Amino acid sequence: MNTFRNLHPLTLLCYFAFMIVFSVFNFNPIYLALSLFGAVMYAAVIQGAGVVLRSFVGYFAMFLLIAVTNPLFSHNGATALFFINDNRVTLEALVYGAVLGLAIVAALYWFRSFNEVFDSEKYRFIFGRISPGLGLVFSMILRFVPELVRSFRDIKSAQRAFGSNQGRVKRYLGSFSAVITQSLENGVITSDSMNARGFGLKHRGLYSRFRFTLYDGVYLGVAAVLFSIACIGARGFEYYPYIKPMEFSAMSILSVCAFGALSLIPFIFEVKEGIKWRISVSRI
Amino acid sequence: MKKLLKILIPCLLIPVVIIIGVITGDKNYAAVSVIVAVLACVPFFLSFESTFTGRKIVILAVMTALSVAGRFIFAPIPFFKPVTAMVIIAAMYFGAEFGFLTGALSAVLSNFYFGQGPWTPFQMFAWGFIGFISGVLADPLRRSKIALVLYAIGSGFVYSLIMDTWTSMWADGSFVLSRFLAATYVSLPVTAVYIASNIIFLLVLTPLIGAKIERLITKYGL
Repeated sequence: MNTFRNLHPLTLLCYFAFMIVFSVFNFNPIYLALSLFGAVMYAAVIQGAGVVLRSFVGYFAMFLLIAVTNPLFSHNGATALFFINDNRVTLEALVYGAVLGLAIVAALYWFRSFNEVFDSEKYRFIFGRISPGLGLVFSMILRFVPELVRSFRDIKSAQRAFGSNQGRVKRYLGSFSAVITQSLENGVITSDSMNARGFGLKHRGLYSRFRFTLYDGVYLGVAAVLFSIACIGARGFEYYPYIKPMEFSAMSILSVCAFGALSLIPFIFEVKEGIKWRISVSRI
Repeated sequence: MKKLLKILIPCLLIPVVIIIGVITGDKNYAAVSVIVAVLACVPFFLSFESTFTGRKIVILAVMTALSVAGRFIFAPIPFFKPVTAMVIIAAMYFGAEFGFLTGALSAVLSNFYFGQGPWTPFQMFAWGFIGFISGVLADPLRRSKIALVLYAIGSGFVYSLIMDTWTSMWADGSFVLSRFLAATYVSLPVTAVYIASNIIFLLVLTPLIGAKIERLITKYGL
C-alpha cells in the first residue's frame, strides 16, 4: 500500500519538520488549531480513535497547566482580571498562555505520529546518509540493546538460583557488571570478524530498501510549495499590551488555507488509501 | 565540504540563527534553542567517518547500548539511571569526542524506546556536553575519587539545569527567570536523587569498567 508511512524517510522527515517548526515558531491560534486538528486526525487514523481519545486527558491537563500558570509568571498586558499578592493576573497573559499550550500540544501530537511512523530502519537510513559508519552504529545499538537486557535477566536469575542473597541494588549492579564484561569482549570479537570480512574497504556500497520515487518527489514538492505559501503569507497575533488579531488580506487567507491543506495531507493520504483498499477488497 | 561545515556551523550558522530568532520571532527562544542544540551536535557527527574505524565503532555501539539498556535494566529502581555515568566513563577511557557521541547517541536511542520529542536535541546536547568535558578532564577524573564525585555532582546539576531551562522556555516561548527558578525548585528532589545515583554508579562502575577496558586493551592491543 502507498500509505503515508511508506513514503521515503527524507520526505517524511521534511514533512514533520515543516509541521513542527511552523507550530513552534508561529503563535497564531488559527494555524495552531489547524495544525492540532491535522495531527489529531492523523494520529486517530494510525493509532485508532480510542487510543487518541484516551490521550486527550493528559494533553488537556498539560494545556491547562501552561495556560493557567502563564499569568503567574508574566504580568504583561493591559486588562487586569484580579490580583494575587499584589501581582496582576491579566487577560492577555492568560490568552497567551492558552496559545502557548495549544502550540505545545500540537507539536506533541505531531511527535506522537512521528514516533509511530519513523521506525528503526528509517533512523538507520537517515543516519547512514550523514555517514555510513553512523548508520552502522545505529543498527548495531538497536540490535545490542534487547540482547543486553536479555542477558542481564539471564545472569540475574542465574545468580538468584545460586542462592545469592545480596540486596537489590548490589545484585543489580553485580549483574550489570557481568553484562558489561560480556558485551565489551563480544564487541571486540565482532569488530575483528567484521574487519576480516573486509569492513571499511573502499568501493563498498550501502544497501537501502528506500527508493526516492516520483511519488515522493511530487509529494515533497507539493508540501514545500504549501509550506512556503503558508510562511510568506503568515501574519501573527499581538498579545501585549492588548490582544490584536491578525490582519485578514487575500495573502493571509491564502496562507491559512495552504497551511490547513498541508496539515491534513497525511490524514487525507491515509483515508484515501483506506478507501482504495476497501474497494479492491470488495471487488474480490 | 565537511571541514568547511565544521568551521561554518559554530562560527557562522549558530550566531545567525540566534540573531534571526531575536530579530524576527517574538523572542522565541524555545525554537531558536532547539535549532542551536541540533547544530551544536552536527560537527561531531560529521567528523565521525574520519575518526572512527573498525573496533572503535563497535566499542562506541557497545558503550551506547549499555547506557541505553541500563535505563531498562534499572527501571525497577526509580530515578536510578546509569546513562550519565556510562557516558562519563566512556569519555574517560576513549576521549572527548567519543564521550560526546556516546552521550548524544544515548539520548536519540533511548528516546527511540521512550518517545522522541522536542526535548531530544536538548538531551543530546546535555549528555554530549557532559561526555565531552569528562573526556577533556579524563586525567584528574581517573586519578582521584574526589574529582570523580565532584564531577558526578556537577554533571547532575548541569544536566538538570539544561533540562529545566528547556522546560521553562518550552512553557513560555521565551526565557522567564521566575519560571526557570520555579522549574528548578520543583525538580530539586529529582535532581538530588539523580546526583546520588550518579555518584553511586560512578564510584562502583568506574573501577569495574576501567579494569575491564584495561584488560581489553592488553588482551587485544587496542
